[in-house]
Amino acid sequence: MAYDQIFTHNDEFGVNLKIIPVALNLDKEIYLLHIFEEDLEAKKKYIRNELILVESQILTSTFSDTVHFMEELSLFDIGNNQNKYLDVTEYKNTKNLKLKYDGDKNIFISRSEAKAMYKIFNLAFMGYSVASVLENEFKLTPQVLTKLLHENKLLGN
Amino acid sequence: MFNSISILTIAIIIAIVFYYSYQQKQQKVKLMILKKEKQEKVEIEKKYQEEQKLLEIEKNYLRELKEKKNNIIYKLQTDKVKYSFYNSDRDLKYSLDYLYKLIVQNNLWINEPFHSKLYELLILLNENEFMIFDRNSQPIKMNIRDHNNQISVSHAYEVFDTIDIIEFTIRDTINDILKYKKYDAQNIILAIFILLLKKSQHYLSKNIFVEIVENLLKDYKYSNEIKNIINLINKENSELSFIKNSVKKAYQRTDTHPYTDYEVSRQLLLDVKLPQKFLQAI
Repeated sequence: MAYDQIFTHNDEFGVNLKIIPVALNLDKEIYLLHIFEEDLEAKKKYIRNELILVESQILTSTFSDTVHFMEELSLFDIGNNQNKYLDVTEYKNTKNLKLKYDGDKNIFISRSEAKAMYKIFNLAFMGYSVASVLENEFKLTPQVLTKLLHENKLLGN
Repeated sequence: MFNSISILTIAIIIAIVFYYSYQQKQQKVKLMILKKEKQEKVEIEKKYQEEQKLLEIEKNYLRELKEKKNNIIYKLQTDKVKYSFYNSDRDLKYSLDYLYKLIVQNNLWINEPFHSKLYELLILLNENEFMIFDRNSQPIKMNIRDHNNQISVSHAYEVFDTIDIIEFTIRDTINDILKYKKYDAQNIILAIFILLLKKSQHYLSKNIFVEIVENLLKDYKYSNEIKNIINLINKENSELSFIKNSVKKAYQRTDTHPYTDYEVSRQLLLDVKLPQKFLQAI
């Protein structure tokens, strides 16, 4: 079976990783997926990676890409056509961001939504140690991510 | 005168002597006869005793024989009957081996072509990794940077192991299936295999797969019957809809496995060479 090709979801030091979704915007189904390890003795949680999940698509898979996405949100209409993830659009003199992704729907993000999402992104790091994500980011492969999603029951409805 | 008298006396004496001697002889003869008779008697007695002894020995011998006869345990014909089965322990995974024993060995369904066709399907399942897409699963598309820093897109979703579903369904319905006549029951079993194989996929080759499954039954004697049975199973409120319910139950009760199409697909092994059967006692 396919699953036997998936080795393990532990990192190279055998640390057990967990994944939880943080809702950035429920209407547009945009989530931040925290991948973190937990040290129960030291009562500390270390972020190992952050992903952006839109509907059922993982848009960014590395921390730098995720921060890039959030900064494009934050810049909003100051961003331009060099944006990687968000297009600046204008409709009836109102500027919006349009998500670039392979989905069925067009997802538009208003200024307030972008601000709220950026706020939640910053709040999401509270209580976590962030240094480890920069030094020791957990590099995902599709197999590992699939298993991680399966074990945390994020693949089913 | 004197002479005549003397002759007479002599004659008398002689006669007397003769008489005595004759009598003695007679007595001797009598004695001899008596002796002989005695001897004979003794001999007869001896013989009789010997015979008695022999008889006793014979009697003892017979008695011993009888006793021996009573003690001998004759071996019954206890050799188990042997049937020609395939060596499923060697060829198949545990759950498929279990299915083979449940279907073929428990019911002694060794009639051809059913026996070989079923084994062909079991080997096909054993050699390939077939999976059924879980409809409750939400496929997730992943844009992930690979080792070369290139973004590749792959999908992740939950799948069932086809073997698990088939095993659950047959285990759940076997008692109801066995109520049918032998040949009908066998066709129903094959129909379950085909029905679930059609729903399966082998990595991403989903469409090719339906054709392959249909080819499996091409030269089978009862292929039309099996197609009809599959239609009956899919029809609601039919006699065989209990199988469909059981398949639904299998989806609920069986564990799913994560699958991503990023994996290198393995080759589909379709050339099933049936191994030799061998005689085996149950």
